[in-house]
Amino acid sequence: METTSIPPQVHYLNADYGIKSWLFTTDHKRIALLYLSSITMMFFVGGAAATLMRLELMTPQGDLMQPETYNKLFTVHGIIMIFFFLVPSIPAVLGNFLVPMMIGARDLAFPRLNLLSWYIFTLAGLFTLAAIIAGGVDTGWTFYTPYSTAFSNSYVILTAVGVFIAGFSSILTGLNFIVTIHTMRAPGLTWFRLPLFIWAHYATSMIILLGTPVLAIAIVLVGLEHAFGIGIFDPALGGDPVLFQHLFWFYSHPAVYIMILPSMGVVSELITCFARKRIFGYSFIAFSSVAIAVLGFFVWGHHMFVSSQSVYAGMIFSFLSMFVAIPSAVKVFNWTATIYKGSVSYASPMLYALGFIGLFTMGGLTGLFLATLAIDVHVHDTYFVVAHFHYIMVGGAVMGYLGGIHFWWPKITGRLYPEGWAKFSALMVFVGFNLTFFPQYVLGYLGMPRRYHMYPPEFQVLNVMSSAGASILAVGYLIPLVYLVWSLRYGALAGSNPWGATGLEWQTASPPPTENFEATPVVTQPAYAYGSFGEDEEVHVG
Amino acid sequence: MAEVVPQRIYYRVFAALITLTLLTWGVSYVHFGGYLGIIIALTIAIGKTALVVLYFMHVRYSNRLIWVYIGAGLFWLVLLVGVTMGDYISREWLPVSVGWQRLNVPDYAPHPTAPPVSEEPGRRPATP
Amino acid sequence: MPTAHSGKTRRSTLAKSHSALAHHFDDLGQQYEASTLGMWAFLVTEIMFFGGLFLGYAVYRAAYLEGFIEGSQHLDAILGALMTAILLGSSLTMALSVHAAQVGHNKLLARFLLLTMLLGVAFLSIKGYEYWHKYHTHMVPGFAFHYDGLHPEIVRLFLSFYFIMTSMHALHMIIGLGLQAMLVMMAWRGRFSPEYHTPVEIIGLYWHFVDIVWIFLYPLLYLVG
Repeated sequence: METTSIPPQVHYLNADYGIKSWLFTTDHKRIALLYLSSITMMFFVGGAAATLMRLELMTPQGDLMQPETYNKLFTVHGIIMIFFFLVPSIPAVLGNFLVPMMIGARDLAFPRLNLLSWYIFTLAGLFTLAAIIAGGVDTGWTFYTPYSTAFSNSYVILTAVGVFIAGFSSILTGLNFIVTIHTMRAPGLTWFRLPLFIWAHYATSMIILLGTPVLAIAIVLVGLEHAFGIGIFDPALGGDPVLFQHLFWFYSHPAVYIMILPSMGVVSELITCFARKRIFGYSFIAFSSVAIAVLGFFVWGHHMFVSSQSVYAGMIFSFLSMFVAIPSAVKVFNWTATIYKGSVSYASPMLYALGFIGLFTMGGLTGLFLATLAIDVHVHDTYFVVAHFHYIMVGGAVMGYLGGIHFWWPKITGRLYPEGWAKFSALMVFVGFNLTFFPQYVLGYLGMPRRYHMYPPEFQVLNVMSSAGASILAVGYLIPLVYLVWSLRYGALAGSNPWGATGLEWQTASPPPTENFEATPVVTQPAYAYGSFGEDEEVHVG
Repeated sequence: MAEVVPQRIYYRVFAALITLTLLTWGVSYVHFGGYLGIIIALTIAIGKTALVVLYFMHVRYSNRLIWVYIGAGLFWLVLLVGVTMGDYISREWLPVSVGWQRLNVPDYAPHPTAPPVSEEPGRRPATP
Repeated sequence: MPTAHSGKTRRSTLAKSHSALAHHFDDLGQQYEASTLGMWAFLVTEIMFFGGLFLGYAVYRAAYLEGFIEGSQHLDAILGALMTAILLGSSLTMALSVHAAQVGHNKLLARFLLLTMLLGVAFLSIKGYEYWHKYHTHMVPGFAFHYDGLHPEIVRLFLSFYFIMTSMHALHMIIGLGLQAMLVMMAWRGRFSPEYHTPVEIIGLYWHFVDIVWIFLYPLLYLVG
């Protein structure tokens, strides 16, 4: 793989100047950067909420803020982190940038819809931030009825509108990806030569299209009930609050797979590059992505075991929840087998990928605890659940996101970041993360409920450990902000393929030209054609 | 691009759709027992939908991928409605269940073994 | 030889320099395929969106059948049948407008589109009359609702579903009318030809979907019991 060190004269960043060239762009790469700035901002808003929460939880009494304020903080933290950071993060930034490039296309199928989706996302963010500034919402990100519809005095409708609008942004992105992957692959790029990043985004887009509209209608109904007292979720008027939970979790469970699948796609790319080895079990990983997308829709009731759902439904959901763990496990085994006897190097993206594998596995295993009916009855709504999903969302998804940002940073910006600082902050994130969230498993198991601003004094030590870890984690997240921005000006020039990776995106300049490729590439090799391990099937076309 | 469907097919499909609409309306006057009424109504509606999808939307002449999309949409719809209804139906199966929909609605007689419903304090009164 | 276009051969290459070809597509065939697939993907999301409402309806109809029957008596089934016929007619005219586009009759295309819009407006007018009548008789939940008959809470619940489902449907119709107006303008400007009339086809798909939703709404709301 030839690496040229001279940057191209004209590329997508300098092809056009001025604010209008950014705000009216249809270039998927520029839109990816627009998204990058939005979600980075949102990440730190959500992080600020978490910081305040962990400060309150340093002491057993509720002494830092009013209980209602604490309720608003955990609600904000959940809504911002899920809908405005995790769901868009990899798809809208890395997916937007890379999906066309990885398939050898000049852009996504619908470039103007792509820009529209960013505008919709921004509008949604403004609504939600307005709700926060106006006074916040205290229902929890789950908006459970009848509290959200009949009793809460906070800004439920304003926030609900923000989330509703954000859903459209997500749907447009998913729609764009699915159509692009179906219709715009380069000649020779059959389905089973696609990078697993593409398979992951295809599966993610399936979930987005099938699940998000159900959340949309659930939110509409909550808004109408809150405004007009319709009674769909009000027992006094014949309604059932649990109906909301069915509609809500039908989306929100698959939503967690929206958040993790793209990250898994990133990890497949990183592991192969930094083990210099073909992926073990390509078709297993590809099919497991689709299996996760499909099976993820069959298990939503495991969030409702103690919500007066019928016990028979509970048993079926519990049983099916065991199945959905299988494809995830398949991926972990295949990644491990890929690393085995590979030529492994520990560049910073690889550190994030390795962290992902370990932490995701821990989070996934605790998911099995929660899927078990009898255990869930005891740990539901405790910190055990909180620790479980943070291991997956933060230890998994966010680390995959950071690994991906680092890996493709040279391609996106044409610059290399300082590797020493990157390794240091990766390790800081890993240490800080475990110190923050492992104690929460113990706390939950011992019985500390979630969404409480105060707790019995015997839980203080673990809570202080958790808050201390959060401070380390925060620093670990802030440092990349500094050196990545620094690298834009002072970083070494990257060349087209600094990592020596396979993939069409590395065969064009860094930063790429607006049209991505000088000429449409023709694909003749399978994915991950690294080195001499295993046979290279060179299929000659034509 | 797409297949050019002769106009007379569209007119025939339209005639069939109108006929089925009249049938739906007429059948509604017959009182069937149990679930038969809704099954018939839905069957006719599905028939009309099939005509619109296959002919007006050209799916009869479209490639297999479109069929997969439609199939997926229908499957997921059935999944959503079917499994959720499964929860509601199976709630009745437990011997101690009182049925979620019978409480707090004065019109319906309480289940014979149901405990008395207590007044819940702090409820915001329902708007009329 | 493996191809990138879902196993099908490339379409018209005459269209490589067609003015309607977007720069990121290789040819009009690929663009048409992508646009059609995109609209179908969107319709799948619409199935799930309305599906949530149908779920709520199913749950409460199963639980409170007598109340739903009572509520449905207050909807005029004959008016509903008329509305169904009008909407089916508009689907017919929409399909005929696509046909006109396919054979290059731009004036006929515009006329059929206008006819479709007219029928759509007729539908919405009748619906508007229904809404006004309900408001007048205090049968709009949340707006001084008052009901003296049997099962008042359930009738209220039923009418809530009626209003939410039909207004969501009407909203989609209004958007559809706007899109058709855009098509009429494009047709008048001669933007369509047998090689390129994709917007007509995909907006036609959308309109037929809206019709299908009503095909289910009519028996479920107007003909209970």
